[in-house]
Amino acid sequence: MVMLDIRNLRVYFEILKGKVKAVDGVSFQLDRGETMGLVGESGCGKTTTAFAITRLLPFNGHVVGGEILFNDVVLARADMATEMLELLERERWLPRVEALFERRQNAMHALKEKGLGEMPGESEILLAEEEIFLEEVGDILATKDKVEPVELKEMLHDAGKAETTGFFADRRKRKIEKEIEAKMAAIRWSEISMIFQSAMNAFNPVYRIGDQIAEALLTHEDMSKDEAHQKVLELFDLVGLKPDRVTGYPHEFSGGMRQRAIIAMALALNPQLIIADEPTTALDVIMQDRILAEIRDLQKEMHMAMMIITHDISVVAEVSEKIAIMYGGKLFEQGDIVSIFENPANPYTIGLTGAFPSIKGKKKRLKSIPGSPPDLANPPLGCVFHPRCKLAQDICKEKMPPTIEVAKNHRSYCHFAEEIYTGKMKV
Amino acid sequence: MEAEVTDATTEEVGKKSGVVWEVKNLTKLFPIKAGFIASLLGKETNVHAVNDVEFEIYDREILGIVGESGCGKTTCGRLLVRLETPTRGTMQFHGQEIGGLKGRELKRFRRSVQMIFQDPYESLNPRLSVFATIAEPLIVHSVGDTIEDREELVRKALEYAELKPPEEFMYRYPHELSGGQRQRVAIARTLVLRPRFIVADEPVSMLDVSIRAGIMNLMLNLREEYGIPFMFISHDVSVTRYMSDRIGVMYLGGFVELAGSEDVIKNPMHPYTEALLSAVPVPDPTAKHGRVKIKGDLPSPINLPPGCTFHPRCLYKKDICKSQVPEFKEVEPGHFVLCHFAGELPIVKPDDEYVTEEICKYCNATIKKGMASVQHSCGANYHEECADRVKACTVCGKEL
Repeated sequence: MVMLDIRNLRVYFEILKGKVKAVDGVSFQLDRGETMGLVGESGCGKTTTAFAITRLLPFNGHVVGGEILFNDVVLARADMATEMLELLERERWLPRVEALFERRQNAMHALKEKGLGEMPGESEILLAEEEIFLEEVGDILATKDKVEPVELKEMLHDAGKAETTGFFADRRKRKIEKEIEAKMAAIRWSEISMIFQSAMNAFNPVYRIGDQIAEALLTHEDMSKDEAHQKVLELFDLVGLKPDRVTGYPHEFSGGMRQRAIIAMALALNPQLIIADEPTTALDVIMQDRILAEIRDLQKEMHMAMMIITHDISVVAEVSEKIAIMYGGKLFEQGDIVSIFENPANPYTIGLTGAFPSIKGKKKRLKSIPGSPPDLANPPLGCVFHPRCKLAQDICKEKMPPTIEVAKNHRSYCHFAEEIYTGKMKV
Repeated sequence: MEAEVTDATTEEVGKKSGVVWEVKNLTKLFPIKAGFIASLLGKETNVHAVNDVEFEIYDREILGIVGESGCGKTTCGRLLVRLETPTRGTMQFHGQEIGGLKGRELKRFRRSVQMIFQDPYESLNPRLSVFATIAEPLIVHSVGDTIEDREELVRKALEYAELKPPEEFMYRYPHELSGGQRQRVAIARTLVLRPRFIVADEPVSMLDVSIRAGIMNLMLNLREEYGIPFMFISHDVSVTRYMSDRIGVMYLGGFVELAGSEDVIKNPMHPYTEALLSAVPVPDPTAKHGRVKIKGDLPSPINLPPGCTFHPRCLYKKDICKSQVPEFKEVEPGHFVLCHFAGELPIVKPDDEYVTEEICKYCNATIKKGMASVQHSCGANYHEECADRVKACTVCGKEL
């Protein structure tokens, strides 16, 4: 059963110079008990994806397209006007806008007929707020044969702008936010928890660690303080921390111990999904190995799904079954880990694995990927990787590549995915 | 496609003449400030950061140093560029004793050694342009008479660091550069004085993977072209293997193993090296390797354990290890190991297709021949240490 379903997610940050397209059309699914590694360089959008799932985006980050569903509950979805405005900026905008309109209209019909109870993956408030706008867009689209495309685009653009700006739009936005946030507050930490990057800073330095974990328990569950502290002791035992440490402050813990305390906190409410953002980056190999083994054991024991975010492809190779490789806000390759390691179908994946030294086998000369990651406020045209890609051809500079399914559970975002997969093209 | 790199094996290294560094009994203690009364009583406590270290670095060689955080590898590097003053021991650079240098002579020595730091976001002054950053050592050591001379030297240094064309980078500020470019600027700064020795302290661990390989290849090229010997400090074993000719494994302030890099990786002889190597993640999801777990945490470097410093965590320890300090023996030519039983232990090697014979039911790590183990009546096996921790057997539930 699909637990986490991310469909075509787009998260943009507003900055003075314009928009940073941090996550640009990312889709993946995660089942119960599954482990997925999300790999990429810094600034490729992996942490932003995680923050979008947990609704922890900073104030200037917005979901402008796509949706995130967790057990059929909508955690994030761009409202129709925002998504439409985004689509209008692309080539071939008309079929896309029409598809969006149709999707939303079908949902609206279904809602009216059946009611929300029978409609998983929908949010009543979102649909209700969009009803008038939907009609408006319907009216504009009905005139598409009579007017010039340029004019049609302008009309849609004006309607979208009117819907998203002004006092009423703000009020509506706040209302929707509040509603979804209320749902999220119940889910956050009890069903989706997160192990944050830099264990050094994730705890409040002026509270005892035991109390901070107990706080999470007390917020979500109806238990007394004594029970909560009992549970904290159990958790400490689970991750291999001494029980007398519960009264310690964060500065009294070493890096590895703090990381374990964070894991204990993430496990406190038996969540279904743990998002681990660089859980071992600050640690040395021996501690890293121990923490990974611990996470793996606990995950098996409790049957949780996990998403590990890291830049270290070998860590992912050790713990996960699925892998998703991100670059410049896009998923470049995703699927079954063995298939991707043995038969990569994307030049970036090949570059990434070729840049890693290993202690196994013979010593090989490492090949670096020339150039540096793209500026996401101003991404290159066509494929975002083309300025650094050895195989880049004219088509890569002009057209965005499609996502091609080269094998079962193995998709690659590249014009030449098939050719690379079958070995006709070599990097 | 995969060009193999010729490795300097231990023998070749031994043949190399020209000793750059000869270090003997080098010790660095950091005193801990005690309270007033304790100071009256004369109690003195020290952190043993580097403890009786002995090694040589040859011409054109890269010596890699690996170890856990807190093992003293950074202090060792700082001693060699005299950012720290040794407490005891001798360190000779091209035959000249460095440990006691002061004043003008120290400054002259510092001109010939340089250090690359870990984090290029912190090691560059944000308010100095690239030119000012790289020209600063020139000013400090009064090299070059005019601005034009210095500009020429800076331009060359940038070219060595593969920042081309240099004019494009010279008057930029660090915030206008990417992480990889910053580290290249830091490397250019070390090169501008034409050093005879460079210490690189975790130079790639803060960089992104795709950039990392470029910086490592740059350092290898520098060694290849200009013959600068390096000391390469890192906690990442696979990176150190890639960079170094020889590897020294450090534990609690001392070397436990020192040999040619392929010898250390392919034929480890010290139990600590074994554990360290087995903890390294391998970028291959189908690889199965027998895991050797290391027990406990790094002991406090204030009160070092008696005997072998590694014995509290060692899986093979015997009585002698608790009382007697082992010798740094040359087990094979050029392969030094600090262990009473060097060469006799059944050490797991990274390339071993290790078939697990027995698995400890408590910690799920392998129990190998020679390790102390306990077999329960139901047939379940445990490490001796693990058996102490479990009260009831995890398989049959009966008491152990």
